[in-house]
Amino acid sequence: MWSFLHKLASPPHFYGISARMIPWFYAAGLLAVAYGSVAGLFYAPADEEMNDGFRIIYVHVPAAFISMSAYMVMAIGAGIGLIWRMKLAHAVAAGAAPLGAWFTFLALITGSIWGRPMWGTWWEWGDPRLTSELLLLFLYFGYMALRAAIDDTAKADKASAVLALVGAVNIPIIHFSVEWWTSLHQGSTLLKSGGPAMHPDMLYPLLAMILGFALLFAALLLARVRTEVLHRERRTRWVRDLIMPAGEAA
Amino acid sequence: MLAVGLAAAGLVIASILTLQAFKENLMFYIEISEVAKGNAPKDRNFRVGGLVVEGSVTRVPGELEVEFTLTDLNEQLVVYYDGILPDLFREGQGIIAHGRLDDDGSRFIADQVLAKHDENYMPPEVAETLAKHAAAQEAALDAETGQQ
Amino acid sequence: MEIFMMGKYSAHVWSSFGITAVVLIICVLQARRRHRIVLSDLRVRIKAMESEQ
Repeated sequence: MWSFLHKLASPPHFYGISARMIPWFYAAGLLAVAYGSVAGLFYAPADEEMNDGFRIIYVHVPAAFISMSAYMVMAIGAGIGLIWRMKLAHAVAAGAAPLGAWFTFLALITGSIWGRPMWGTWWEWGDPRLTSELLLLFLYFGYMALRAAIDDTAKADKASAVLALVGAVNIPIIHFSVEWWTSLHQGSTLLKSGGPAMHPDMLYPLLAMILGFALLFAALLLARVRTEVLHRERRTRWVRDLIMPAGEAA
Repeated sequence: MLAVGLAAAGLVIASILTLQAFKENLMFYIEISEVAKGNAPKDRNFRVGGLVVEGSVTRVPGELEVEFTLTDLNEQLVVYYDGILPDLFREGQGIIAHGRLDDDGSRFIADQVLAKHDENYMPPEVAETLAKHAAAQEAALDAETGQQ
Repeated sequence: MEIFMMGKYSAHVWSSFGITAVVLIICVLQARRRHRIVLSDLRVRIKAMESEQ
């Protein structure tokens, strides 16, 4: 196990192994999302109060889940990179940021479309859940801007890692915002004590969507980290050999 | 480089404004019990939240105007609103209203009414069964206390 | 076509799913584009280095 992880952490091995893993993650993710979408849109019963409008949950909740998970991946990668000086960990953090930003954008926009008819507003300034999720988007942007501003990769890694770790306090704030303060947003359905507060026919498609989004995120993350690794290792022998196989040299 | 600097400055300003809105939101949310005690600002807008009391919604026929009673299960507050209600608005539902007290402090004049949803999702048939069970349980409880 | 009707919420439900699909596709395309750019940069750079030698 350890030797496998050790090998995986070496850039050339990661580059090769990830290439073989990515199509499987894409395929499994698409399968789960296809099932979840069809079951969620057409087979799950309509909600008693929100009617068919509740089906937005099948994209909103998975997007929100990934928006926070991506930040955890980013912060943990940044932490490992800082403490153990592992370059691949920094590459993971750098790859997770733009994806996290996209999923946060999705969570905000689908939430807004859902809130308009149900709550009566597209957006409520100052609402605890909405505010903390918007700050999450700003944190991703800040992280990416900081990386873009520093040319030296090692320095960019360090500075952005500190920002990622400091910003991690926002993750529990997002989760507990609906309990700590009065928010328009409802409490957690899935992580409620006593089990999910949802009919099973509605629940299974949602779980499939969350799994599917997680698999697609994993595929996208691997693809981005691969690119990142290639760029970071641009001066090494193995990249030279990869780009210009022996015999093709000028 | 300039673009990145501008973006960073924009981000910082946006974050500060967002947090400012959050602070105001917390400051001017007043419990209905506090309003009843007279602890609500007279001269500015604030927000109240609570459940719409069953049977309290009265509408002016042909108009959007609506009046209902809001409760925090302790005190009550009459709310007047002239506007389109959100789809989730109904009796027994949790709502948040934004507005101010009228001059004699007896009514809350809302300029915005927002409805909340709880964390439960269920098809109508299940909701019906649950309501039936709850009613049966209540009846059983009433019978029990009646015997004692 | 009946099953595609979501009551009064058709526009909300379908726009949410549509935007989600578009964003996911953008994510895939962005990742691919970046990889292609890095690869072609590397090719230029390594060729230049080899010809210098």
